[in-house]
Amino acid sequence: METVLVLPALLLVLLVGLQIAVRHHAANVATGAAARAAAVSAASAGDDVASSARRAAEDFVTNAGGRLSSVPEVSRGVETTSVAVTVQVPRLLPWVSDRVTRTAVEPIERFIPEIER
Amino acid sequence: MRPTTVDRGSATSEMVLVVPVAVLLVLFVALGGRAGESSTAVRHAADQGARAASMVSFDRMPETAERAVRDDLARSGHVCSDTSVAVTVDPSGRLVTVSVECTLDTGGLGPLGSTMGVLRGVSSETIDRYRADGVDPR
Repeated sequence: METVLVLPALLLVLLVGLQIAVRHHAANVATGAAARAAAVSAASAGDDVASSARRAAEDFVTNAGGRLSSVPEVSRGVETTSVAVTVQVPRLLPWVSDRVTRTAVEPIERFIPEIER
Repeated sequence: MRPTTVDRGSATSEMVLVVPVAVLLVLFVALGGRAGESSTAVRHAADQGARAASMVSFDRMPETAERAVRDDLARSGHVCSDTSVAVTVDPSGRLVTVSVECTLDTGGLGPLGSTMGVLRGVSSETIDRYRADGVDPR
């Protein structure tokens, strides 16, 4: 009788632990993908920079066994570029968020005269 | 299969033993996850610092690296406190090394809160010795 109440509670606690681990893993994958894509964007020039950065993020997430929740957002300014990657989090508990977003910013490779360095 | 009188309450007393262990397990997972994520963030910050430093003149390297490291850590959110940044330039002037140290934020982790030490990230970047205008940056 007590077991009927107590065991689900215990399993729930264990599920919470698993969910935290899964979420941290997804966040790590998103961080890595964003960093990789930002590096690609920072080192490239031309019209298709955004799409190659996006592809880099997608490849990274696929290789890490994750799944993108939405298309990575690539933005390029004059000095810096930033990439936001959102990865799906497998949901073990119904009320937790099923996605995690990480953003990376990189300075764009460009010529800077010695005097301005 | 009615429990005998001697067994009554045994599940409760077993829970008293098991629940703290289960909760510790969850806290440990949270600590491990946070430590892993934070150490990635610290290493990335060191990379950013080294890269930023490699792009400026020697005089401005320390402040530039420090700013880049702190900006990047702030961007990663949470992670750690008491950040210290050390910038060293190789005697040959070809390599700048940035090392970052900080203490992991263990708030909310209860009894495991005091177990974490210091996170470190070290990164080196090559300095372009000859720049476009032919001036040796030294």
